[in-house]
Amino acid sequence: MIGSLIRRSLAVACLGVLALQPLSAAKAASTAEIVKKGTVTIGVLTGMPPYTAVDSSGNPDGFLVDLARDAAKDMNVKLEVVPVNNSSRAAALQSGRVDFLIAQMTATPQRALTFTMTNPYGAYEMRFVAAKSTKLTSVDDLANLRVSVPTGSTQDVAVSGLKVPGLQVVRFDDDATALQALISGQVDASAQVATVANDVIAKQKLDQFEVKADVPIFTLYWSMAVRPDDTELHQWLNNFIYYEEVSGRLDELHKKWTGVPIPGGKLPAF
Amino acid sequence: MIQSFGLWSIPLLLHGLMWTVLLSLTTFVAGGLFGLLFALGRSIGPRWLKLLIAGYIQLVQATPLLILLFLSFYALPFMGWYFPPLAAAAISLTAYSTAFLADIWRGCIEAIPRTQWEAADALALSTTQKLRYVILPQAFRIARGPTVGFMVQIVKNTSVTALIGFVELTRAGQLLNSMTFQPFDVFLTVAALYFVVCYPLSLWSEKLKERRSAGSAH
Amino acid sequence: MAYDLNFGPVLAHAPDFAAGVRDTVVLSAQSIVLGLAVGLVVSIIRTSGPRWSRTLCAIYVEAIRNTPLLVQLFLFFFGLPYIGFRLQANTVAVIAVALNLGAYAGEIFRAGLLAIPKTQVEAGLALGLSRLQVLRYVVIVPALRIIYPALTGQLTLTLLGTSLVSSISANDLTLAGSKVVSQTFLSLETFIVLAPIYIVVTFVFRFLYWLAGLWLFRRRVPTGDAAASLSLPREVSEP
Repeated sequence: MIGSLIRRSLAVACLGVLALQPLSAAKAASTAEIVKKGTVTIGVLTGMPPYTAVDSSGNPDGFLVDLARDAAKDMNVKLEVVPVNNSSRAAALQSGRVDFLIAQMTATPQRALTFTMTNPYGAYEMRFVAAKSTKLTSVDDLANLRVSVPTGSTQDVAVSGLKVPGLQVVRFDDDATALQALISGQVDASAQVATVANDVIAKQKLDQFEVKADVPIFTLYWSMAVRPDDTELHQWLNNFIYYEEVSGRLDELHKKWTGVPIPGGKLPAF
Repeated sequence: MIQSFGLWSIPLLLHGLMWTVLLSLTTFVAGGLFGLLFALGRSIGPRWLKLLIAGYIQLVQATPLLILLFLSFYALPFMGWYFPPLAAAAISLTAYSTAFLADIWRGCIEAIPRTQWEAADALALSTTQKLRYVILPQAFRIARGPTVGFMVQIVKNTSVTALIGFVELTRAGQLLNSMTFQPFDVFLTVAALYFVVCYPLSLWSEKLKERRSAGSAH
Repeated sequence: MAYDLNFGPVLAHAPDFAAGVRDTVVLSAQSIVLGLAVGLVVSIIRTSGPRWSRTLCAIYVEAIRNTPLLVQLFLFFFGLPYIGFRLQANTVAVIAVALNLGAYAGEIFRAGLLAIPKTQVEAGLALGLSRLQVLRYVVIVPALRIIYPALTGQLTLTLLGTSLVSSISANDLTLAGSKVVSQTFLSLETFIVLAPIYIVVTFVFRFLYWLAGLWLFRRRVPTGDAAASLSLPREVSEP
């Protein structure tokens, strides 16, 4: 009877689904629980060279991944890196997929409503990048220009908040794509991390572009993010970041990937 | 590190290509299995089952694959299942392919003339025997062309999983581009690699369809 | 672990979703019109054009049909400027989707044209119909009726394929969804809302195709679902 074949197959399918139990219950997030679990799952941002890179198997590498490796070593557990981008990092943390994020998140009060941010581990200057021929010495020069930003980033918020007539904000999934849009001529300017932009311009010999230093957007800092309940993990991470900075390791890693020490000197704490 | 696109980039692309092929095969096998079940259920199952399956097919075919991917990628972790992107990709692609394959195969099963069913009944064959020896072999012969044609779609659809971060060929291209900023070279190479996989399948599909037109008897 | 779905903030963005629907519909309509035109030209060239143009079209069709739409979008968006065309994302999206549809539509139209035997044309001429009347009543309308399910199935696939243009920041419903996600952080709820919207838009379009079928053919013709695009009518071998 075909009915029984179908019923049997559905039953097997249901059993199969039940058997596919989750890989690892990543919801655990006090340091004791992580140590017990034996693995720390960290969401790491992609698409922001030179802070991020990829090895020949497509696995994430870079400044952020090195930080993640240090954290796992200090916790004495194995490391599982989950690549995220601007669109997926919030969900990765909220759903419990990762224990915490090293995803170049700036600690804004709005974000602090949903996440708890650590003390910063990095500093960056946000600047506009445009062609040398584009006159950009004040915010008003942005009138009627198309500016690319990574979606949901602080650049996004900052540029979207500018009250300049005719300014059009174009959003992309990550910093590199936003910069690519400028290089391809899809947009007139891009709001970028100055180190990243200068690195790309130098390595790619893009002489026709420059970072417009006269129009500061801001200098800000990147933090790691944890879920609001994970206060103990939050404090451990602060401790970790403090020690990385004080021992010079943070500058060492930053120089390894970007060629310069962390801009701005001592990182703030809050 | 920003570098120039060159020979060193090839391993990354090939690695992505490998995952594209693996994901496509997985999707085809799993989607084929469920698709066959659904097709059978729809052609000879009870009425409620026919409606249920028809409803599923209609809904899935009216939703973009990207939305299905996002739904499984974001929904599964919230329900407690932390699958890597590969699993989320495989699940969504399978669900998507099942709907299409079920539809194609149901059409092929229903293309078998009623007389064949009646002849099988006259020979006192059970339903399983009827399907196995009379109906399905003929249906498969009709189905070969469109099925291989759909395999090409599966391979192309795997590219969408790049947007949930699964590192297959397209995503490898995006990653490469973010390191080299040479999109023309990178994506042209990516397109060429897809072509190398898909074109033989397309040719084979056309050949199978022709053979069916030329060789159909009765 | 219980996660409470919170639709409030997402539904508050209803105007953004409405704008997204409008963008998707406009984009799809433009791409469909352009793509069908391209497909018509391609099918005519491939059935009755000079050898060199047939080969050119064959290369175009095979290149499009054997590469993913997403890669085509990236190539056009990032690559076109390198050969001198600096276009806005929305324009690039329409061009890429239209060229994509053009290849498939070309094949579908060609199958339709080949399905009308020459004897029909001769009979029509013998009955005293003018060449134009033969073209319209004996070739085009019957061919269209044969391929209608496959064609409308492909148009549905094209509409759903427009969701990919969000990756090059062209305006559509999916991009509207991304914006809502980046503001509310509620990704699951947003996509749960997006899926039914797409389903409704698809069904509306299919209803319109059905109406068009009624008007064109003066009787009911089945509109294909997306799978129908894979089953073309029996192809007669090339002359």
